Amino acid sequence: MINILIADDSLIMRQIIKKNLQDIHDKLHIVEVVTGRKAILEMERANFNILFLDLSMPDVKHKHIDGMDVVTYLHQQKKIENMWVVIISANLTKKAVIKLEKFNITNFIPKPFDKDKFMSVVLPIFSELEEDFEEL
Amino acid sequence: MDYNYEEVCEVLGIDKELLEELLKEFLQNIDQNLEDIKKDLDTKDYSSLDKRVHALKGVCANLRLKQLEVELVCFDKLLKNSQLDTSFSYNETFDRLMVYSWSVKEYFIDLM
Repeated sequence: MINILIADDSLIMRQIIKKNLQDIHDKLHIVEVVTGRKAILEMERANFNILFLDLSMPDVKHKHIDGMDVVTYLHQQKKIENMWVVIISANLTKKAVIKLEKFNITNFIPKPFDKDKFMSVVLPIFSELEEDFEEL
Repeated sequence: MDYNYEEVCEVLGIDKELLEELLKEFLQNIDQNLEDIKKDLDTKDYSSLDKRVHALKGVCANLRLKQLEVELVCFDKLLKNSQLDTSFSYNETFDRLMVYSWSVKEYFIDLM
């Protein structure tokens, strides 16, 4: 079973990501969250193989924690080494990409969603995960 | 307005049934979204407005609702450049958004 966390405030975006993932693999456990805060809470409770992370996720109820804050948390908790982080965002500026690469995050998918781009990033990750599972 | 279901399904990697569900979801929320934008404009809450416009722009871009997306990109740029000081510019931009949202709702009336 591959454990996946999708952190994106857009229900429509989450549905599109989920459908494309289900087309790749039939044994997925997918958790969806709409804020950076909830993403951190989920990652404290469970381990995920892949995190799909939006950079901009408004939180009206709590202190705003955006995608970059989640990445900082992952870095501080040394979780980046143990999971694949895929940034899906409309805000992939050069500055943001440089900052993310410093955290060893190199998988980027720009919005609007495009299946071909998504697959070009995600299929190699699934291949590597399956190889890892076979070795276990 | 023109909308090619086949092309949008292809680029999103989803079937027509799911695309229609997503469009329904969008159509159910568009009036509330525009109402919230208007409220932020009236109260000059530009921080909230920026987030709302940005989020709606993203949804329209993903669903390939081109005309609405173009208007929201303009709105977003106006906000980023702080050009919303005059009531004329924001009212005009908001009015165009309303007009395009009506045309979208009219086009997808069978889904509503």
